[in-house]
Amino acid sequence: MEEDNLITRAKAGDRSAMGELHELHARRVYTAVRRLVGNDQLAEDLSQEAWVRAFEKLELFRGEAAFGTWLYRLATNVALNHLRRSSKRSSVEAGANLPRITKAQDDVIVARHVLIQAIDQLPPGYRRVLVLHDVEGWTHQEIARSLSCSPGTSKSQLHKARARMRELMQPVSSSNDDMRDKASL
Amino acid sequence: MMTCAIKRVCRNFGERYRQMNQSASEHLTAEQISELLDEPRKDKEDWLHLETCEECRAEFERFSRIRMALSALPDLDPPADEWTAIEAKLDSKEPRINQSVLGFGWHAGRSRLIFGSRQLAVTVAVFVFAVGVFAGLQLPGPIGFFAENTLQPGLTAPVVQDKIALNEPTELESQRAPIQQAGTSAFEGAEFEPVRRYEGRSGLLVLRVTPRTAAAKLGLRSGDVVVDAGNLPTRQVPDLIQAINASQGSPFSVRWIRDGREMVKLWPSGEIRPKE
Repeated sequence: MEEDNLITRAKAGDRSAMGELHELHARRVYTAVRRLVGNDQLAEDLSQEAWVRAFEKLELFRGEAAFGTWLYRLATNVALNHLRRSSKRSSVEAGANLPRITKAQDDVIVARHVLIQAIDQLPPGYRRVLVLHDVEGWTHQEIARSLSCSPGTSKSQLHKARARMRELMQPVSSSNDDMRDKASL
Repeated sequence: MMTCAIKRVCRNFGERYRQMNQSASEHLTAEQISELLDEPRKDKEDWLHLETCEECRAEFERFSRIRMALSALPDLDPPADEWTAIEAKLDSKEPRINQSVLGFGWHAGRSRLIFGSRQLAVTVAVFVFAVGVFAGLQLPGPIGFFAENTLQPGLTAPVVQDKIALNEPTELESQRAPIQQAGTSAFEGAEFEPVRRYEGRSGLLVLRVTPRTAAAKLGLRSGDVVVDAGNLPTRQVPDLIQAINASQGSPFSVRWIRDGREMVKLWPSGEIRPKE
């Protein structure tokens, strides 16, 4: 396998092999981190941190899982650890005072942007559960293990997050019915 | 004991009556609808309400569509210079060995000069001098040698990116044929989709930016909406070509919207212009 060869070379310190591995998985890593943290600048820093950590720990990768899966889990952990640390530093919900989306979009791709904006505006606690469950497809058991909470807490957070999403996707400038048709994809 | 039993029956009956009344007159909450999405038959009363209440059923459908859209979100492009930044971080974490008087050492396994810390001032001075040499001062001898070997990737990037953008085709070349034909490469490396009424304006939504291309150098990212180039509105891809042609090789501005904020940059310098 080409990727196995790249991993072997990267373990030996071959920078071009590392670059090729990055090229192969950069989007997946960045996307996972970006969705969880809801912020471009922070996502850029954490994505880089995840890659540096991955190359530092590459010796520990034994090939039991696919490299992409291992890397994805590592990147997710970097993002979740950051969220955990930042929530300890401040109990203020980052999304609480952000402006609501003001425009309904009738283009499917732009509607997708409305959705992404709404995710970014969620409080971090809601966002991480919604992203892990509804976007990344984790089960409540997996989320509970990762966040050190009970599956019941994960479910409860998810329902609250979806309700908040629905609320955020109601543009203030148009009537409810009009918005529902346009923004709900 | 008898009294307690009667009270319990009355309380249960009252609760049941309240629930029946509620299901007939009130709608389900957003959280109740969300629960039904994952476990449709969990709460029989909520489900019965959903079957009889048109408004709640419509809301259930909307939740369902949002969830489907969430599961189908596309991957995002990382910044074009991510690998350069990662390499710089990897470099900064490598062990220092064989440090010389000047503060440089040679990493035997990787064929690269690395920095020491004790003579940081000397290192910085030589580094700045080396940048000057690389930029065209053409100083002779060992100074030229140091310059060539101590430059950081980030500093050489503009030159390298220019070469790639102007001379080397990329894998997306065929999809960007109209832009390539213009003979100039300000937007080379990006895919666009026309959008209407985005933040009240029409423009070209950037779907994807290939790293280390001209569009990446300009600073475009997926999700940006380019609204004008060279002070000409950009509603269709041919508008970009028109703007490039109209510039006749002179620098021109490109304006786009990112996260509701307007950004303006000059091509090819990348200079950020104040919002007009």
